[in-house]
Amino acid sequence: MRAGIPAFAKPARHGFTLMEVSAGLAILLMVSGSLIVMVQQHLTFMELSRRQAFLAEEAPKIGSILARMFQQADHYFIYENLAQARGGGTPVLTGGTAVRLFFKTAAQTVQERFITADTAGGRTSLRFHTPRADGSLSSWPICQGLQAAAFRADEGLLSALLTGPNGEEVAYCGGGR
Amino acid sequence: MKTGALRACQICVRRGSLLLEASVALGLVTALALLLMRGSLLAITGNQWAVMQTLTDACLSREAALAARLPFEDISADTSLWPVSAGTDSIAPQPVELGKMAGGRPVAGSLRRFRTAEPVTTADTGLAVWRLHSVLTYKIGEDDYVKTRSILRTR
Repeated sequence: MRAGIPAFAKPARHGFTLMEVSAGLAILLMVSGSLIVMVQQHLTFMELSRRQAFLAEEAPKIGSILARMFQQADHYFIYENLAQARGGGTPVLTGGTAVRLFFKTAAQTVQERFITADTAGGRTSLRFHTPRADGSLSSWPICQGLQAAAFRADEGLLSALLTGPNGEEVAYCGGGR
Repeated sequence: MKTGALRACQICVRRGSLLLEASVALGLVTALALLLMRGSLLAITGNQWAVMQTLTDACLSREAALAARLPFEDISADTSLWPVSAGTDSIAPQPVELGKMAGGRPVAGSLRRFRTAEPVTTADTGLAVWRLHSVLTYKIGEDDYVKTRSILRTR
């Protein structure tokens, strides 16, 4: 115990001044503001990346499938829809949503297949259809979630114009051998 | 007297450490921000490259299909889409739309077409052989890139 200081007196505690507290708050605001900006920037980049996903990831796979089918087809016709394609309606040159592909087999017989652009709920999907012996169709999806898809053959080529979910457009071409 | 000087020095150290801690925190945040931005930019740049490959491949699928389907008489005609040339320099490039990016923004490139005669070693066969070249030039950022397709046609 020092001389002159009563035994019951508590030692003086040094608190923060108003300037120190203000400086601390200002620094805290700066750091949290920087973190918020970083998160916003990251979200912006993520959104940009997501918007590019169709052309960067999906379209190459769709193009690979369509190119192989188009190249192997012996000849083709385009129709307004699947019903017309199956019923032997009048083919069209532009704006078709169904293409009827004819493939030559090793036994020199001809097999038919269909690719259609089906729109439901504002979204379009491409499907590949195979006729069964009983007349029904089995099908599997090539892709889903497009804005639109259309076939055309006005240039002597079979062309599929795909419009992606964010307005992207890409056209794949092929033709009879 | 000594006790008072020691206490003042302790307060100085405490105030100085606040500034040091704040600087370290801000430095760390800045470094983290730069790292995140670099990662995001790399991801976007990679996507941009993939997108351009998709569009140019699709454009060249049309070139390959057209070159394979064109009647042979049209190939060798004066008004051929693939004129005779020794190289790409003498052929004027024509603008071509490769497709559209997200949001509907069109992407442009330039296309040169020309054909070259392929040598036929056995002249008595009467073969005419042309190779049809399509040379597509496109930009990614500030750099120019070239992609080609060639189709061999024989009669």
